[in-house]
Amino acid sequence: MEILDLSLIELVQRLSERSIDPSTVLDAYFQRVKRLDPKIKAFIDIEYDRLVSQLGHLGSIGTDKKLQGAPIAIKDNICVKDVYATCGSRILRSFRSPYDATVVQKLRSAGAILFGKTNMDEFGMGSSTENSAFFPTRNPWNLEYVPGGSSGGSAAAVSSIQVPAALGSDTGGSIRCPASYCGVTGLKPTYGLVSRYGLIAYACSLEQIGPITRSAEDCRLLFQVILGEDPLDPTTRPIPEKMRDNMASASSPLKIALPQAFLSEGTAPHVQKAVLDASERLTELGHIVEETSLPYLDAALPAYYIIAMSEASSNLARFDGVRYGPADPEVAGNPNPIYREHIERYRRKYFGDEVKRRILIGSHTLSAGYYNQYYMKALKVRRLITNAFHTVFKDFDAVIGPTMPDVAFRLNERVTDPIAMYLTDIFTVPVNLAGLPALSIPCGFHQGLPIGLQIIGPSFSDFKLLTLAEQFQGITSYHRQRPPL
Amino acid sequence: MGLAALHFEANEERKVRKWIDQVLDWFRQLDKINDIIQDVPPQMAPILLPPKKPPLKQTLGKEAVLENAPETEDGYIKTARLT
Repeated sequence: MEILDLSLIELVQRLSERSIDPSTVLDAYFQRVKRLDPKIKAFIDIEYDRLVSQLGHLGSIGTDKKLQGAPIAIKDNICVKDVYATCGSRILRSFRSPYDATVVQKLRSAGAILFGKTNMDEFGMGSSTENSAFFPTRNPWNLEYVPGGSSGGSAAAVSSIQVPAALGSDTGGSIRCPASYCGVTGLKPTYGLVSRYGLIAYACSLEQIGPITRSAEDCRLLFQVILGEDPLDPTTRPIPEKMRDNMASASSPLKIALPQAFLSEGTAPHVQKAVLDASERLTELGHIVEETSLPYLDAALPAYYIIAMSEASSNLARFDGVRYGPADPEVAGNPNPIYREHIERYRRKYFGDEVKRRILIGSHTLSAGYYNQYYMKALKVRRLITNAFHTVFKDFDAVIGPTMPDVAFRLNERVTDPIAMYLTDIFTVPVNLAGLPALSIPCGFHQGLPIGLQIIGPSFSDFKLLTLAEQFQGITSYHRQRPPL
Repeated sequence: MGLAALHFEANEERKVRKWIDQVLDWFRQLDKINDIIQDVPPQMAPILLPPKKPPLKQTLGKEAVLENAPETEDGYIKTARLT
C-alpha cells in the first residue's frame, strides 16, 4: 500500500513498528505538496528543511507515541515557536511566534511532525478562504470552487492528501464548513475541552481548535492528543468522568433528532436528499431517528454575528502597527504623526475589507448608545438557543442535519455580498453559541462536489458523536472518495 | 471612525456607510422577537465557570523578545516615530 493511501492510524502503526521510516513519509507528502499545492494553495508557509529538522527530535522520544512521526498541518492562527503565524493577514505577515500553542506542544509530545501552516480567511473571518490577504485556496474537488472557510487551507490539504490530518479552529463553523465542502471529517469540540492558549483570538467565547481528518477514526486519535484542561487557558475544563468512559468506541442504539428547520426551503434539494439518505443509514445501524423542532434557528445567525463582531472589535484592538506589525513610516504621510492618527491609518492599510467591516460594526454594537439594542439582545438569543438545544437533548442523544445549506460555491460568487456569505453559516453557528460539540462528515455528492452531514451532541458527548460517525463510515464510502487530481 | 480606530478617506464614506447599514438592518430582524426575549437572562459564554487565576509563568527573556522584534536599536524595540 502506498504511504499516501494509509490512514493516520495506519501510518502511526507502521511508523511505530518501524516498517516505514519517518523521513520516507515526509518525502512522500512533501512531493505531493510540491506537485499539487501550486494549484490548490492550501499552505501559506511550508519549508522542507524545517520539516526534516524535526526528525532528529523523534529519535529521543521513543516509539510508543500516539502520533509517532505523522505529519500534521496547522492552521495559521495557531502559534508554533519560531514559525510565522500570519492569521492570513498582512498585519501579521512578518510575525514569528516566540512560543508554542498548548495544542502544538501536545502534538510535539505525541511525536507529530508539524507540517506547515495552512491558509485561512483573515483572522478567521469568512466562509470561503477568499478573505486571506495572500491568495484564495481552491477546492480540490473542483478548482473553480471555494474550499469553505475559514480553515479552508487545512481542509483542502487533507482532502487532496497533502497531509494525513490538520488542525483548524471553529468560531462559527470554520472547521465544519470546509470539512463539508472538501469531503473530509471535521470536529468542533465542546467549548472548554481544547486549550485556546496560542490561538490568535477572534471571538473568545465561541471558538475552539479541532481536528480535520479523512475519517472519524483518525479524528478521534488527533482529538485524544489535543484535548485536556490547561492552566494557561482558564476557560478549559477537566475531562468529566463520564466522558472518559466514552473515549473508546462503544455502541448502543441512540435516539437522534432531525429538526424540520434543517430541511426547510433554504436547504438545497440535493442536500436534503443526502441528509435523509444518511438518516436511513443510521436507522439501518439500529438507531432511532425522529423529526423534531428546534426553535429560534433564524435568530441564531444575526445573534452570532453581533457577538462575534463585538468580540472581534475588542480582540483586534492590539493590532496597531506598534505592538504588532512592521513599522511603516509612510502610513501617516507626515514626519511627526500623532499616535491615534498613525493607528487609524495603519489599520486602514493593513486590514482587509471583511476585517474592517467586522471591527466597525462590532465597535458600534458594543458602544454605549447601542449596547442594549444589539449586543445585549444577542446574548439573550444565545440563552434561547442554548435552552432550545437542552430541551431537545432531554429526549435525544444527538441532532443531525446538513452542515451547509448547499455544496461549495464558485470563487468570487459571493465576495461582494457579505450577507449572502453570512447566510451559509445558518446551521453551524447555533452550535458555537451553545458551546456544543459537532462533527461534519461526508454523506453524498452533487455535481462532483461533497455534501456534509452535521452531527451535534450535548456538551462532552464528543466521543459518542465520533462513534456514531465511525459507524456511519463503516457502512458508507463517501469518506473514501478522492478528488480527481 | 473613532471607536474602531480605522481611518477612511472622504471618498470611501458611501462604501463604508453601506457596509454598516446593510448589516445593521439585517441585525434588526431580532426586533421581531423582542417580546420573547424580554425576560430572558443574557448568556455571555457557553458555560459559567468559577473564575480561575492563570498561573504565574516565566516570561520570555529580553534577548528572545528583542530577537522577535522587527527592528531594534541599542537593546530597545524600535517602533514607528509617534508624538
